[in-house]
Amino acid sequence: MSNMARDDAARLGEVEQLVLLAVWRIGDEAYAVPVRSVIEAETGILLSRGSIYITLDRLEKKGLVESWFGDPTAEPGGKARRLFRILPEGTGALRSARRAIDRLAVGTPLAEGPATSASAKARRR
Amino acid sequence: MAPIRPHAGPFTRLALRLAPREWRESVERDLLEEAPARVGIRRDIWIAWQTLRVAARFRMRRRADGRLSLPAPRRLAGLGADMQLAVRTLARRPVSTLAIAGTLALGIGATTAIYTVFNFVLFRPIPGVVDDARLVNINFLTADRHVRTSASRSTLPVLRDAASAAGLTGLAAACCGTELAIGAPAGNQPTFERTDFVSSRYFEVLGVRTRLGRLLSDDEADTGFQNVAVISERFWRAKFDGQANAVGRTIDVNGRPFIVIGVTDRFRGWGRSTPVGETDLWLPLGTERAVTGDDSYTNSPIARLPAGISITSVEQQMRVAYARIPQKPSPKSAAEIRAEALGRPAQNGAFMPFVDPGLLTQSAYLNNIALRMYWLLMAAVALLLVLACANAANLLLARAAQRERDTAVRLAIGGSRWRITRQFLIESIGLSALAGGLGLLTAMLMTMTVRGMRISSNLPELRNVEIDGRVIAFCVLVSITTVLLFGLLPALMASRTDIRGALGRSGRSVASPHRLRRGLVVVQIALSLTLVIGAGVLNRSLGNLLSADLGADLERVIDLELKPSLLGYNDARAKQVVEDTMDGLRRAGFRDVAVSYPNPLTLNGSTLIVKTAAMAAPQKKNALQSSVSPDYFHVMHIPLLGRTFTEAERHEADSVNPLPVVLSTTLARDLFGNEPAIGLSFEMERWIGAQSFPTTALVVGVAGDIRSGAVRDAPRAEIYDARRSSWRYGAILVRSDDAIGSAMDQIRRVVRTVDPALPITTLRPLKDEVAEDLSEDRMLARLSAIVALLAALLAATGVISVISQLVVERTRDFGIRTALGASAGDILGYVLKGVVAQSALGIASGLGLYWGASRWIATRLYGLDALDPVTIAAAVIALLAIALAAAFMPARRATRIDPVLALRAE
Repeated sequence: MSNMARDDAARLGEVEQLVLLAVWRIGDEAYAVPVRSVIEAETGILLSRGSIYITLDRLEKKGLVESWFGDPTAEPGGKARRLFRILPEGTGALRSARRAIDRLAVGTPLAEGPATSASAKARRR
Repeated sequence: MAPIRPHAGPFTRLALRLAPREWRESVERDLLEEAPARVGIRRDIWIAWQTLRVAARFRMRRRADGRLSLPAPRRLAGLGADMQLAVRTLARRPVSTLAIAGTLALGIGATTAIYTVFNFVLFRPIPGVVDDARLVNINFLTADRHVRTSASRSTLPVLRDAASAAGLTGLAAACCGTELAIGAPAGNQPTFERTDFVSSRYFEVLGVRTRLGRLLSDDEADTGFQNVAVISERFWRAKFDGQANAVGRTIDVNGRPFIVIGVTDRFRGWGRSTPVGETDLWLPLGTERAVTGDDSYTNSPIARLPAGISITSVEQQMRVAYARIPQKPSPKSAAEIRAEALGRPAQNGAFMPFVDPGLLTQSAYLNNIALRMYWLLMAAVALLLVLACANAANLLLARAAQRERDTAVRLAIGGSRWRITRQFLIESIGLSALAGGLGLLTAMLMTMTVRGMRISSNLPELRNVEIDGRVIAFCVLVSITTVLLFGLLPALMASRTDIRGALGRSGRSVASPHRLRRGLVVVQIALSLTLVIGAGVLNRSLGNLLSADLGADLERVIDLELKPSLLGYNDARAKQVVEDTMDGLRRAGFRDVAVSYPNPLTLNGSTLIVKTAAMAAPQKKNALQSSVSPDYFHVMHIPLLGRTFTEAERHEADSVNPLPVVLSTTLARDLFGNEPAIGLSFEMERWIGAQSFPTTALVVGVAGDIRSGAVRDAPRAEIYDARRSSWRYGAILVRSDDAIGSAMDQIRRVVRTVDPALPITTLRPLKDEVAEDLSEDRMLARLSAIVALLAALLAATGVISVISQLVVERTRDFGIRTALGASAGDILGYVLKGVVAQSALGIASGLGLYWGASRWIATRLYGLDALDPVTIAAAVIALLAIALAAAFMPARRATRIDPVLALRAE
């Protein structure tokens, strides 16, 4: 109960979930480009670049990820970009979200696996 | 993976500033990484656009219902509020806004395009040169400025002393814009680059900088002990692909190796009287003799005038200093020798230095041509602009009419008329700004259509016309003018809205009175007619010029010019090469081959001193003197009385006495009147090198006149002889019945068999050269046609919009008419009759306007009168047809008005 009673900061919107998960999956040194492509590859959802930047900002403000400036490119005046890594609070938030769905889904076809849904329908009839 | 370009373009940098600071570099790197296979400007635009989207997203907020929106605008008082309202108003009716802006863009674009072209050719400062207003050029002229001679190499040190005594900082000279052969590997055809041999301090005086490497040092330039070269950016990109390692590489100039030491920044020299230069290579003055085998006279020396010193004082001091210097080498040129021969004494010292401002010689002739064309074209596009403004004003009036109630309400609750006017003016300014931007793009497109053409055969080709700061400033100026022209009227009309009338009626607006709109149509038709007639006569004149009889049949004659001197061949070898080439051509199947020196279409005549038996004393005639092979008249299809030269005469022409000559009809008539000239002889002065010999000439034939050079001119006096001595620089003429392309290939192959490295400087049909002489006329004809087309388009659009508005406004009237039994034909006739009436008025005014302008056009016409009735009639009919066609569609809508609906809307 204490996990779910945490303040709103820890509750994740859908886009925040996707981005946070992608950052976790990429591991170290995540940034907008691979986040976007991994989300698209796995879910088919193509987020706008702007949304990803904003979401990363917001996740950092919520304390779920941390960022730093990576190495600049090798020319004079090279640009350093922001890189992200998930924090333990972030993994915790994701786990909470997953648990919340699991608990709420009890009694619905979502909780039972695909193999059992047919028998459940048969039982209800 | 392709290397990532380290920096984003200017558009992107601007867009990035809209994003939060800590994200800017990330966004830039991410987009650069993701920019797909697009290249160049498209990539920049894509990146900039994505950046804008990201920046906008950063600024958006999420509203309560979850949708995104931009933050509410802050309330600004007064002017700010008006500007925001103006932007919103324009954005709310995008189609209408774009229509008005597009119309204006056409006018602004055309005007800017003309200015762009002429700015490039005439007005802009010389690229790569610093502060060219403070530069001067120094000429040697006689006191009356009639005879000029060039400074030679030996006079440079003397001039330098005089110049520094007079206070000038730095004096330098260059020679001569020669075309040199730059070798290609493995015996391919060399390319030709215009080259200047420059003295020490040349680049320093001009302020030229390098993009890469360095410039010539003083030692290198004057003594020429090092074979070093400086190249232009264009040469650098063409030959070395813009690689940084070009410095230190060797190029082969006329067979001699030169090391590239630097690349200039934007500098390409300058033309005789235009800032457009085509020099790509600079070599030390000291190497000229080794490279070209000759020591020519330099161009006018240049110097920089320090601030605070006047040209006249410098000139005086220079003359004093120059006169005082003992033992000056005398700058005697061949021209000076001729001057003496013609009875004008030129003693040593009669030439003195003149200091003229600027770098461009004041070639009044060339400037006049270009300037006249400029003003003519500017007048035409100014009319187009007025047309566009008339259209825009009309459309704005219509929009103002739709907002009449809104305006009336504002006035009623206490708004001042001034505020209303200001509001409309600000909208007009916004439209102008939009139109200005679109107009700049249109100008770019339009200038592309004249790329590859020339304004005049004497001015360079318009290859890289660019849009620089002056053009943009001009565009802004024109946009502001258009605001005054089209924005003022609707603004004033709106402020005069009758409150009670507007609010009282049931919303039917008559804010823009019929008279005004009719007036606009009349104006549009008038202006279009003027432009269409102008374009018509110019194009017909061009047709006349192109088909004018030149006196020779140039169809199927190919001009081949070789330059054996560029390979360093001496005279005898060069002659042999030319003979071999001609033999080779005959063996390859070309039966009609001849040689002419100079090129048959050349413009330059010279002074001939002759004395016939009938003259008391020798007279000077201006005639073109050519040396030709016996086949010449046959190959060129020039009618000939008498006979041409024999082979024997050709071989002995240098020594035979009397010298057999052929005269052109004009010259024969001039010398001998109506007496048949064949068989008569006369005395003349013959020039060999810098010396003249009196010769007896015997007329063996009289040839038809050719219009050598400009087609418009009267045929020129011409005298032909059979000498071979100057065939080094001549033209080989080949007549071929085959397709020109394959004939030229064959010729090229023959030349390559004779001598694979022989540079072919020209190989093209003679009639192309004639066409080039007509560049001005072609340019005028094409541009005027484009302008006329745009004008007709604008007029048509104007008519369509006026009639549409009319129909919408008078829906009730037309409904009643239909209800009372009028047929579709009646209504159509009623509308179209009105159009015809307005068009007639427009046509009458247009004719009057054209009559006034015809004087200027008349000077450019050939073979027809400015008031040519056929052209005028055709233009009138065309415009009338366009006006009726344009009115037809909206008029038909009037016939379809359902009377019930129309009356119910009351």
